[in-house]
Amino acid sequence: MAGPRARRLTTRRWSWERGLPWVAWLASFGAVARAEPPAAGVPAEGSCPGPSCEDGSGSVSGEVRVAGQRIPLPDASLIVMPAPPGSEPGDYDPPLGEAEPPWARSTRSDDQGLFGVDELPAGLVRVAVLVPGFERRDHIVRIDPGATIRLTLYVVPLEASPFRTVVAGAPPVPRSQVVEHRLTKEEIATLPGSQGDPLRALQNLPGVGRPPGGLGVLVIRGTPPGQSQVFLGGHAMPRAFHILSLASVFPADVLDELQYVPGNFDAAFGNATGGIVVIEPRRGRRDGVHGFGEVDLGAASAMVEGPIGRGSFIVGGQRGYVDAVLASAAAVTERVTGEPSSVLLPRYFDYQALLDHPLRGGATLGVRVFGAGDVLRARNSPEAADVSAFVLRTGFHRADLVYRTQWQGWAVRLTPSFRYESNRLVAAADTFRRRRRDAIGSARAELRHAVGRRAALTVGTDFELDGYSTLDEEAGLDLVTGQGTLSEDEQRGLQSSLGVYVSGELRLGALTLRPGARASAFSVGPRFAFAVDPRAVGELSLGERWQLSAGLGRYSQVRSIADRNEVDLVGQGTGVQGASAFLPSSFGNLDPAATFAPQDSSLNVREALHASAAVRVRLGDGGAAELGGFLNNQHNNVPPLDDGARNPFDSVSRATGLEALVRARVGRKLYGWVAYTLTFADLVLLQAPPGFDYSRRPSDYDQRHNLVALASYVLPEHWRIGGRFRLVSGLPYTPVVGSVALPGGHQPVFGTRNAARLPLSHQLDLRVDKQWIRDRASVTAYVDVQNVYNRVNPELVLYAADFRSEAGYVGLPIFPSLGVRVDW
Amino acid sequence: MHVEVVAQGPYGARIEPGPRTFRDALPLDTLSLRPVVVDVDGLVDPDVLEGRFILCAGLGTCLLRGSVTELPACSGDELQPSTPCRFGEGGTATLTMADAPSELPSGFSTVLGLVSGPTVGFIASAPDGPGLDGCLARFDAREPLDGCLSMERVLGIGPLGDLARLLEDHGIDPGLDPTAETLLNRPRNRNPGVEHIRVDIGERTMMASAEDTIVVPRDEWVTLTLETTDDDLDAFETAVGEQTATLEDFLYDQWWFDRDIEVEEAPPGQLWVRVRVGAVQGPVRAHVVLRDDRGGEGWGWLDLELGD
Repeated sequence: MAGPRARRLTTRRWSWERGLPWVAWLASFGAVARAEPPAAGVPAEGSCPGPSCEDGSGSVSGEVRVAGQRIPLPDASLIVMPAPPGSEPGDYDPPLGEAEPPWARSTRSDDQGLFGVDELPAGLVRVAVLVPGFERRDHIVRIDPGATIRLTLYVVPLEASPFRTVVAGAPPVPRSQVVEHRLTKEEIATLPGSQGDPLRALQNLPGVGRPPGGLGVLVIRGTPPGQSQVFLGGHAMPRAFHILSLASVFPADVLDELQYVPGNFDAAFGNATGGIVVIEPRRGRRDGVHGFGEVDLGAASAMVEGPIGRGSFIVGGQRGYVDAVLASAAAVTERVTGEPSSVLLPRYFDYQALLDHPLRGGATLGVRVFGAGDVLRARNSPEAADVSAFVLRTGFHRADLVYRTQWQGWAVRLTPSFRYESNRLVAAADTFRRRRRDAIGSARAELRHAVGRRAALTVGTDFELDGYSTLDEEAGLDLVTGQGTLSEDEQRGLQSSLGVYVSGELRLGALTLRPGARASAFSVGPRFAFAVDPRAVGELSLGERWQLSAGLGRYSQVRSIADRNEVDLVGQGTGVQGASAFLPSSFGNLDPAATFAPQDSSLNVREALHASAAVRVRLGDGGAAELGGFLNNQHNNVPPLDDGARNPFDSVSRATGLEALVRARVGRKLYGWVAYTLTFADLVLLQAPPGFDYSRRPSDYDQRHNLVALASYVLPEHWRIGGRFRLVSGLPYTPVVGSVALPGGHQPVFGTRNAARLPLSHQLDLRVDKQWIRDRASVTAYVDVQNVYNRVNPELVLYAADFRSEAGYVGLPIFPSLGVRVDW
Repeated sequence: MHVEVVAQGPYGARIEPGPRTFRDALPLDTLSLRPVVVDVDGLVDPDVLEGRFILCAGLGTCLLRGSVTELPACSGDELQPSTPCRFGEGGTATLTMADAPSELPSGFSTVLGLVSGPTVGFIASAPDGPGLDGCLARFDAREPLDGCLSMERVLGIGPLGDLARLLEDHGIDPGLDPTAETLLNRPRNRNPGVEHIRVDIGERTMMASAEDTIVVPRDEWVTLTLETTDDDLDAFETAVGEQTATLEDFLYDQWWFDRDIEVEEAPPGQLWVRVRVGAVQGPVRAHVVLRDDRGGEGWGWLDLELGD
């Protein structure tokens, strides 16, 4: 009895607003009458209800679908009744206070959304569709004697979201982690200030710092971006963001959830000493061909998905045209001011093609092809608009196979992959060229086996073999002969990594233990490095709501390339001279792909110890609160000097802190959270060279306080509004303390590295979405405004021409983003 | 920094006094080093400055590499010392260049490496600053350098032809192709001078001498143009391929004003500046330095008095 009773109550709650109690009664009758649901297309029981039946009777059948998405809607109530006098076939808008009709018939749609009603009198009848959570729809049709009218009725959801989870992929493999956060696709798409970008959305979670310049890099627990990894389909991404970090190379629409683990991650993942982000692409939909097209100020994207054979496919792409926008803005500025302007013009694209197909015996095979390309060029002046003194081209193309099966009780996953990367830099008016190409084969194999009800074992291996070639060309002028010169340096080599891991899960009542270990080997040419990393995580459930977790583990990352941002290996050269402004060191790692050739004479492994603990409590209605602490202690293991002597800049990076998160969700209308991170991150030189002016300094990413509060609320009429407020400590920077007068200018004198800190920053971002739903498609328009009250949040310091005084700060102004998206 | 040869050593053709001072020095020539310091009250007498002179190899290496407090005294044996050294205290100094080396500097295969390196650094306390020791300590501690003065200048070594011959006399191959006449024929560089400044106000033009006072209207743009002579340009004839060409120094200028007035600077290579005094009260002093592309410098000023 509970089912029908609940259904009746539900029916009354959504009884239409025009005050027709009889319709609600009929709808509830339909609910009760569905104790034995009709077969697809079979009319409900009953006899011809009207006097016109004497002229013969007909039928109406069809299907109910969700407007805008075209997916079948089961369990919809349909009421058939006489059409009002004077009405015409087509959609009908019933008036208020409508009288009870002389007769009515009701039914419900089946699992495929199909319905049918026969024995209807000839003439005009009205079909009303009522579904909880959807707008009512009335449609008038003409019944002809002996004929069946077919209808497809689309009903509009009251609280629609185009970001629905459609097809769940394989259930995620349980991994060991102390803290893990997931974002749904809806959250990613509607978070204010994130422009629907999946990795930018992560910046709202505890442990993730506010990136320098508002860009899209991941600064996790005070570590540089290059020490964290993004894994897609089990393989590390060569780059997670497009150039200048404008957007992720993998869009939110081809994934269901992001899994973000800021530390103490599972042994399945290696070559990272910061945090990780795990992305699993989803499968394409099989309920029809669907897709979307989206255009905003910076990019256009499109995607199509649907069934193919017994499987499904997704094909999508994105093209960024920020360069055109910036070039136009620069041209306008030049025209207005009469002054030439220089600007960097980024352009990018990415594409994805995913195919999933079931095989015999429950196995599945997936093929994933995707890639991205970026061009960054300098536009210097109106006269040189088409001549760039600086061009950086970078791109990759990757193809994965994913095979899943069950083998003698083991869940098996095999993912071979091939990737081709190309990076090319042309600078100094074409006199300086660098190029790197990589052909990379990689694979991951993983087996998981449940041992009784209390234990599970996972073993796996991953490897990567990278054949690279680099070419440096530099043109010069022989001062003596006056002849042009060209120096070339070409290198070819192999670099590789191999990991073997094992992790277990042991459930002992309220206590779950997840020990694991990973052994890694790295090589670059003839140089090798090895690491063995034991890890463990424990979880203790205290009742149904409370949970404690703690983890301890060792993490390694190969360092084949001098990490120039780590210590003062290259002095203070991270600034942009000539502009009286210097970027904080935190900008130094924005594009690791722009590094070309292995430089160190030996290969080392950065070694980190992660320790963390968290207490978590589940709140009602899907909410949760969490408080945790972490320690990330890294020996940077800077490779020795060429003569084999210990590098005097060898160092230890240490980050400690607290993370708190309160996450709430109220029904389907409101979600939000407050996240706070307290971080202390510094770097200690193990053996400071004589005369060196520090032995300990703040890390480039030492962001003491980071508070994010956000909420997104669904309003009637398919409006949604959201806001995010962020309050963050400024990043450290190296101040200019004075200058030396040189002929024609001044040479800045820098203070101690990271001796100063940018001021506190705060900003409010707002986002408004409006959706219009039609039968076969929906249109969503949005405005995402960053820094609503135009606060100047300093990103760098401006100095007077002689560097003797600070002239102000540079911050990002208010930035509105407009976009339109069509889903079908 | 005003640098000029005040005593010639045994090498090179004898130099004669003229309208311009010589900046290029050969080994064993003696240079006078005199900082040009300006504050809001005008030129500062360098003799009142507490300063330290440092010799090093290349711009940026005197003051920006290592300690400036713990510096050895210069031995006088190296044209460009491998590590910075101090050779003078006070507001001015003289420096006698070391004798010709017995070999070219490490890493250089031509005499060009020898002539491009010797650099003088100067660090001093302003008259009301923290004192020389305070400034040196702040430099080493990378603390704010308020009240401290610092500069670096590459010393001119030449003329190149004389130096090449000198090296050959010492048994050192200067590494220059004998056909590099453009370099070898270049004369000893002289400091350009600021003597005359043309003043254009609307359709009116007048010629002012440096250190003059001229009357300018408050709300009208005034163009100040440096007048140069052949003495500033160090012109010389040389073979370029099959032809003979006249080559000369490239000159450029920099202007400073002791009041906040509107200034429009000229494109590189043009020796003028446009100013409009506007609402500024009192006379405005314009300081100007004229530089050539071989390190030569000449200083001057002009007072702009407001009137109709």
